[in-house]
Amino acid sequence: MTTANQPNGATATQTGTEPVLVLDKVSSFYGNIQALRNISLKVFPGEIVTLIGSNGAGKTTTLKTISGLIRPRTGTISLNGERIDSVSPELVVAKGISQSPEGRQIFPRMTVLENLEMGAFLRKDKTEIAADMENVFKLFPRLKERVRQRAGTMSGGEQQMLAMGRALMARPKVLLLDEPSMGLSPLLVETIFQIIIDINREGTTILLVEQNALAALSIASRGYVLQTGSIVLEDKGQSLLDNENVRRTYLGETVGVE
Amino acid sequence: MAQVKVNPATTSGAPKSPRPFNRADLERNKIILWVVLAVIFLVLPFIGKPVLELFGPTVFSSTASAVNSTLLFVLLALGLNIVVGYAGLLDLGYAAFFAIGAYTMGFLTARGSPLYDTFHTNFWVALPISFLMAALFGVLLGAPTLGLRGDYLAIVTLGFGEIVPITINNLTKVTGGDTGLSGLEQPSFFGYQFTASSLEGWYLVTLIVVFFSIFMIRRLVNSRIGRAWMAMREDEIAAAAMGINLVRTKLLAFGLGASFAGFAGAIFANSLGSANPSQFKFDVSVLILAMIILGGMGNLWGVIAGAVALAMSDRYIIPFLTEQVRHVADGIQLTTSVVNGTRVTEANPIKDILTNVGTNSRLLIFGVILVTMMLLRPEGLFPNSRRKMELRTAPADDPQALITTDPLTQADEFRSINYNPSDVTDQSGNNDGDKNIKA
Amino acid sequence: MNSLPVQVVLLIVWLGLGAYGTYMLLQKGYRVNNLKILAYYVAPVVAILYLIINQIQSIDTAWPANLPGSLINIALGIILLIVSPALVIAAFLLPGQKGLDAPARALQRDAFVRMRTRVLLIGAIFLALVLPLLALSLFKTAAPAELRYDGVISVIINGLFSGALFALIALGYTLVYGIVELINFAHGDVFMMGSLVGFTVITILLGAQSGRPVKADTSIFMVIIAIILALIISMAFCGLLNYLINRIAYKRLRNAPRLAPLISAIGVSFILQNIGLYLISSAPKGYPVLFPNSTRVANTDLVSDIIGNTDSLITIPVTGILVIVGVGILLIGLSYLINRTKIGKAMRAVAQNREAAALMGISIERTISFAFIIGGALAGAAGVIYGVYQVQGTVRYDLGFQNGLFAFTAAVLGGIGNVNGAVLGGLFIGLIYSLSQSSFFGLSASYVDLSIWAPVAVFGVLVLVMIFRPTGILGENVQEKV
Repeated sequence: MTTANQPNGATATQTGTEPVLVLDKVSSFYGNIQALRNISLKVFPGEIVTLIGSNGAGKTTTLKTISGLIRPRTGTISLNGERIDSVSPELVVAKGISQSPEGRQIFPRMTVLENLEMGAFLRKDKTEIAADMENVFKLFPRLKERVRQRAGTMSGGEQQMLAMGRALMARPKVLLLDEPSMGLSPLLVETIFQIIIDINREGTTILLVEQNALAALSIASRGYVLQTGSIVLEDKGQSLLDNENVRRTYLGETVGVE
Repeated sequence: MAQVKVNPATTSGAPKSPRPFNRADLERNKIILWVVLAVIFLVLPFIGKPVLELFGPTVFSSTASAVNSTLLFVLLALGLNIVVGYAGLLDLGYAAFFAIGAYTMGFLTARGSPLYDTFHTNFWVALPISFLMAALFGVLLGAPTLGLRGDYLAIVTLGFGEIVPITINNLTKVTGGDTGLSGLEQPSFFGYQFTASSLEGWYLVTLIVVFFSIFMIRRLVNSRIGRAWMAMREDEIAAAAMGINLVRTKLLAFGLGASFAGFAGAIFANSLGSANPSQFKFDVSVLILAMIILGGMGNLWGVIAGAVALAMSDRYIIPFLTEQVRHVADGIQLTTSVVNGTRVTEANPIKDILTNVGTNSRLLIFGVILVTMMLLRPEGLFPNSRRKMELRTAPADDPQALITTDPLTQADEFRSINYNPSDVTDQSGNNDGDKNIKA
Repeated sequence: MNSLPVQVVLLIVWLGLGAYGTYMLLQKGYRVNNLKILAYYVAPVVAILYLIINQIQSIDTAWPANLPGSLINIALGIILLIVSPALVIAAFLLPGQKGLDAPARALQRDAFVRMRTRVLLIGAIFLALVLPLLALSLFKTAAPAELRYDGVISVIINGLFSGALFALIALGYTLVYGIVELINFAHGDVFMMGSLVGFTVITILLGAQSGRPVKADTSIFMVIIAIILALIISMAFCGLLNYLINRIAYKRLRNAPRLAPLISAIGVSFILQNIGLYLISSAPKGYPVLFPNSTRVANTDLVSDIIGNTDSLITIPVTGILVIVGVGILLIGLSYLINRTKIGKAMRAVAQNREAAALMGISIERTISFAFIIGGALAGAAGVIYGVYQVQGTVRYDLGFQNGLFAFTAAVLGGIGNVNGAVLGGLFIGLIYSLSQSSFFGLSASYVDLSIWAPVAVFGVLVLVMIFRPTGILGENVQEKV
C-alpha cells in the first residue's frame, strides 16, 4: 500500500502491487442487447481510475455489473483475487465495493442521518461507524448542518455529497462513483472533485465514471475510454488528456482539423 | 424469442421466399375458413343434442347451458379486452356493466318491473337499449377516471364495481332487492318461442352476437381508433403528443367495452328469465379479467381461448369433477351398530372430508388455476402478437420482417446511432506506440 | 360574551380563519411559517372548545358551579380573547420565506411536510374527541331518541373501534404496496385466517362454545391469558402464511407484467377463502362471549356523569378496551420497528429506492419477505381482536373480502405506502362506516336498513378520494412513473 497516498503520482502498476479490482473480458446484456463487450480493466490500490465515454457507451453498465446489479454473461470480476461476478449486490458490498450511483439515488423520505446509516447497513462495529460518520461530516460539513433534514428536500449538490458520503460509510476497499458532477454548477463540480481527491488521499481506491472528461482525467492516475461497450483506449490520466483524439472527441477541441 | 438468424447483407439481394407472398390467396383462404367455422358452430347444437343425449338425459342440457354461458363470457372477455388489452385501462369492476345490461333488459321486459304497467317492450327492442345503456354508463363512470392510470384506475373501477351491485341490491322498491327481477318476457322469432330451456335458440342468438363482435373488433383494432388505443397503452404522453385526443379515445374504449357487457347482460338476463344482484359481484369481474390475462391480453384469439378455457372449467369441468367426488362420498356406507338397543352411526372422517371437498372446492380449484398459470406463463397463453410487431422495424409487407431481428444486428444499429467508428479507433492506431489500444 | 349570537359570530370568524389557514396550507403550504400554521389552528380550536363549554353551561346549570369547570372556562376565555388573536397577528407579521436562501427554504419546506403530517394526525384525533362533545351540545334534546347525543357518541366510539381494526389491516396493504407496488388481494383473507386461528385457540383453551358465553367458572385471568395466547399464535401463523404466500405466489413474478402478480394475488385469495370454507363450512361461527358479566365498562359514561344525566345510553363494550390497548401497543411497536430498527429502516429504504438499497448491501428479497411477515402478523392480530370485539357471526370464510376491501380503501385514503396514512385512513373509514350504519343522518330506520348502504358510502369515499386526491390524505406527490 505504498502508493496509497499518491493520487496523481505515478501509477501503481509500476510499484508491482497486485490490483484490487480486476475485470476480465466482461460482457453484459440488457435483454438481447449487448451493452458491454469484453471489458477488461484493472484498478490498483490507492488509485483514482476513471472511465470516460459518451452517452450510452456503457460506463454506468460497467459499474452496475461490478456492483452485481447486472450479472455479466461472460467474463470474470474479482476483488483481491476473489471472484465477485456472480454474487448478489449485498455480498459485493460486504466484500468491500460500494457505489454512489448515477443521479444520486438517495432515499428521499429518510433523513440525512438515516441515509448515512443505510450506507453502513452491513457493518456492526458501532464505534467505527461513528468515527466514519464524523469523517464524512468532516469531508462534507454541509451534511452535518442538515442531519435531521429529509434528503429529498436538499439541493442537487447536497444530495450528491450525501450519495458519496453514504457510499463511504460502507468503508469500501473500492469506491465506485458514477457521474458525481452530473447536473451540478461548475463551482460545485470543482468542490466535488476536490473532495474526491481528499477521499483518495485518505486511502480509498476510486473508480470514477464521468462525462466531464477534462475534470475526471485531470485528477485520475489512469483512465479508460469506453465506446459502445468496448474499451478503446487505456493510459495515464495526463497522457489521455494530451491525446488528440480524446481531446477532439470528449473535450470538444478542434485540434488538427483541416 | 425464437430466432432465425438472418444476415441482412445476404438476404437483401436475391429473392428469398420459395413461394411468393400472395395477399389475395390469404384473404380467400381466410374467408373459406370463416365460413367453415361458422357452419360448424351453427350446426353444432343439432348434431350435439342427439349425441350427448346418448350419455344420459341431462348431459345435453347441462353441457349446452355451460356452452351458452361460455359464449356470454367470451362476449364479456372481448369487451373487457378492449378496455384492458387494447387501451391499457385496468378495469376491476367490469361486472357492473354486465349488471346494467341485465337490469336494463329486466326493467324493459320483466313483469315484476316497476315500469311494466306504464311501459314495456320485447327482447328485440330492449337488446339495443341495454347495449346503449351500458355504453352510456361506461362513459359516465369512465369520465371521472380520465386523469388516473395504473393501480389508481383499478381501485376506482373496483369501487364502481362494488357500488353498482350493492346499489341495485339496496333499491328494493325499484329492482326487487336481493330477490331481483323475474318474469322477463322472452322473445319469439318467426313463431319460435324462446324459453329458459330453449338452449339451442339462445346458443344461436349469442353465437351470432359473438361472431358479429369478433368481426367488429377486428375491424376496430386495425382502424385509427385501434391504433390510438394501442399508442395510448404504450405511452400516454407520447400518444397525446402525436395528436391523439386522450379524452375521446379513453371514453370510446370505456363505452365500447361496456357495451359488450351490456349485450351479454341483456341476453344473460333474458335467457334466464330473471336478474339478480348476486350474479354481478366482484368475482365475476375477476373471472373475466383472469380470462383475458390467461389468454394473452390484447390478443383476440388468445382472449377467446382464455374465456373458453376458464368459463368451461368454471361452469362445466369443475362442477363435473366435484360431483364425482360427491358421488364417491355418497357411496361410502356408514357403519352402524346397535348398542343397548339404539342404532349408533359411527362417524366416518373420510366421508366427511370427501363430502366437504366435493361441495366446497370451486374457489380452490379456480385459485390454483390462476396462481399456477401466472407462475408458468405470466404473459398469458397467447401473448399479444401485435406487441411483437410493434417492436419490428421493417415494413409490414415484407414476410421476412416477421423473423425477429438478431441481437447482433440490433446491437449494430445501436452502434451506428451512438458513435462514429472512425473517430478514435482508426486514428489512435496511427498514434504513438505507448497508447494501449483495445478496440 | 355569553349571549348566543355573539358566540355564533365569533365562531364563524374563527372558523373562517381556520379555513383560510387550511387553504393556505394546501395551496402554498411550505411557504407558510410554522408559527402561522400553529396560529391558524390554535385559534379556531380554542374558539370551538370555549363555545362548547359555554354550551354545556347553558344546558346544564349545575356544572359550572363547580370550581374546576369555571377555572377552565376562564382560562379558555383568556386564551381565546388574548393569546390566539396575538398569535394570529404575530403570524401575519412574521416574515415569510423572502430573504431565505435556497437551502434554508428547503429546510423550512421539509419541516413543513413533517409538520403537516403531525397537524393532520393530531387534528383527526382531536376531531374524534370533539365530535362527541359537539354532538352532545347539538343533540341533547333531540326529538327522535336515535339522534340524542348518547346514541351519536356510541356510534362514533364504535366507529373508532372498527376503524382501529381497519387500520391494522390497512397497514399490511400499505407496507406491501410501499415495497413491491402490489395490491395484495389475499391480505383480507389472511386476516380471516387469523380470526379463524384465534377462534380455535380460544375455544380449545377455554373449552367454550361458538357464540356462547364462556363457562361460568372461567376466571377473567384465564380469559386474558387465552386472548394473549390466541394473539401470539395467530400473529405467528399469519406472518408465516403471508411469508409463504409471497414466496410461492409473488416472488417469481417480480419482473413479470404488472397484472400477473395481481391475478396471482386474487388466486391466492380464492384459495384461502376455500380453505376457510373447508374448515368452518359456510355457516358463520362466532367467538365465545368472553366477558359475559360485564358488557360495558363500568362508569365509562363520563359525559353523563358530568352533566348529571342518568338515563344515558352510551355503551362501550369491555372488549373495546382490548381494541384500544391491543391496537395501541401494536402501532407503537410498529412505529418503533419502522423508525428505529435496522430492518425497519431497510424496509423504508427499499420502498423509496430499490436499486440504491441493493447498493447499500440490503437484501431486497429478505426485506420484502419481512414486510410480508409484519403485514401478516398485524392482520392476524386484527383477526383475533376483531373476533373478540365483534363476537357474533364473525368467523366466516368470506370475512376477509369486504373487510379487506374496506381496509384497502383506508390505505388508499391515507395515501398508499404511507404508514401514518393507513392509520388515519382506517379511523376515518371506521367513522364513515359506523355513521352511515347509524341513523345519524336522520333517515328513519323503518324505511331501509342503513347498514346496507355503508359499503356504498365507503366505496363512494374511495372513488371521490381517488378522483380528487389520488395520493391520499398524507400521500406525497410521487414522481409519475411513465
